[in-house]
Amino acid sequence: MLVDIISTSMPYQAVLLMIAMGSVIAWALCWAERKLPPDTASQIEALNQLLPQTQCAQCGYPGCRPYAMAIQTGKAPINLCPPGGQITVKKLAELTGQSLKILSSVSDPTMRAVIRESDCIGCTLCIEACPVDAIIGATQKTHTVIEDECTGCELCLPPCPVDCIDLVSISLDTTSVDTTSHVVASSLDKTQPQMSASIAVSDDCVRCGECIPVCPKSLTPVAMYWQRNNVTEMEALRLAECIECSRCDRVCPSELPLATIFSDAKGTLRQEQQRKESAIYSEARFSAREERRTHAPPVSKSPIPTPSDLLKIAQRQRVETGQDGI
Amino acid sequence: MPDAITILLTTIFVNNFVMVQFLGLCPFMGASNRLDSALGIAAATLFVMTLASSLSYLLNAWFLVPLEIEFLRIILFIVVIAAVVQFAEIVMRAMEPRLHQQLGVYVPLITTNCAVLAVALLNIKLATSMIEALFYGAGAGLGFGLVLILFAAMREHLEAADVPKPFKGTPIHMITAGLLSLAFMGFTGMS
Repeated sequence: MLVDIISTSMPYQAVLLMIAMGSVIAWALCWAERKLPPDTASQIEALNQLLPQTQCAQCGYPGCRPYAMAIQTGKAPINLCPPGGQITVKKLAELTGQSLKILSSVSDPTMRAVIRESDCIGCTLCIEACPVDAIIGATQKTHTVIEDECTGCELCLPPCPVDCIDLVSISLDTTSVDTTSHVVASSLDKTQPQMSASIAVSDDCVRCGECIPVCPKSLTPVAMYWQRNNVTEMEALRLAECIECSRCDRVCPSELPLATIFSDAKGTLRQEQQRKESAIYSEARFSAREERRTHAPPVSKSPIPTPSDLLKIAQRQRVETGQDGI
Repeated sequence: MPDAITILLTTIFVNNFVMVQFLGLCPFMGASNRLDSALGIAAATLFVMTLASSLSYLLNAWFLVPLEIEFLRIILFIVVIAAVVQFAEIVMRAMEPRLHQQLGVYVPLITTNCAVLAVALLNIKLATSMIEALFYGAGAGLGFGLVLILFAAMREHLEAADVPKPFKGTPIHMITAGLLSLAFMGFTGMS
């Protein structure tokens, strides 16, 4: 019965043709997929995603994407990325199917750049050269290296006009150079009032910059945060314009109390300004007094005249005018 | 051979699929935002139409008619078109990765371009040989590409033009498409 229905209403040729066509097309597409060269762009993209994006050029290529392209074409081995470390080499080996290699690097991974702060002239050339933004500082201010961020790539050495950057092994030098504070080692620091110690802030700003677009006053909260121990720098970053709306607080992935820090800094700034103003005022008063003392003619040496003196003067005047009333 | 060239010219201008037969209007409006992407989609559609029309003609002539299963035409033609589109995508990804990235979702959407299926179906009535079917498909693809590129160029100019507010956007595009269609209707007198 069922067979009858099938044979009358569903011709077997149709079924066979459908199956045959499906297999032929599937085979042809599979063949095309295998035979044609694989999609290079997405391979490069995948390799580039694994690289740390420090663009440090330690691999000998101008950046991470060029290195990814070189790996894809087989021109470069997978173990040239010191900032990525052995983990990146392992991931690259998994993706490319190459055998795992040991990280080879031109620079020693334990080396870190350290700026001799006494020699630094504050030219900012090394800041521009640093691929990982590990050097902080400003024009005419001593720069310093954030040790945790430094990859020891030596790219900051050639631009330095006074050769004040040394490469030191971190195991030896961490104790002698305090690079953990993340504070611009400015000579002004000594005179600056320090932030109130009540806010315990750990240095876990990840510099994601999430706070910049949300600021209604177009400030750079991240930069102000990094300069948080230096109100002069913060003022240069337009601290005074901060309205303490705490929108930066809400977007901060590290949940830093940014608005509180800025509020405190504004208080410190205000105190500082008041102190400066009062200093200027007292200095003005002092100099005015000095002026009076040295240049103004002596007004009168005698003290206030007593009644008897007045009487004597009056008598003298009478004698002089000849009005002898007696 | 003169027949083939006549078919080619007729399908490009006189019986233009988009402007005269109003087929494939969706990609015509959707993929004509920018001239370079219109060029890409036009090239891909030309490839698909030429290949799909000849393959479907062969399928019809060699299998469907002898086996008397013409009722499977639409289903099988769609399968052929989908396969050709998939093939085109693989080729494009391998040869022109940047173009592939730029066109993105539009390439698989060629499958649903009704002009492609229309070419395959109309072929059966119009073409008498494989060569004719090939030229018919190529003509349809070229006509589609011509209109798409013309329209994309016009839209790029419209972006800069001072269009009255009620006509901004889709309305002026529709009016432009209508005027373009009128112009193509003028070719009908030539045949």
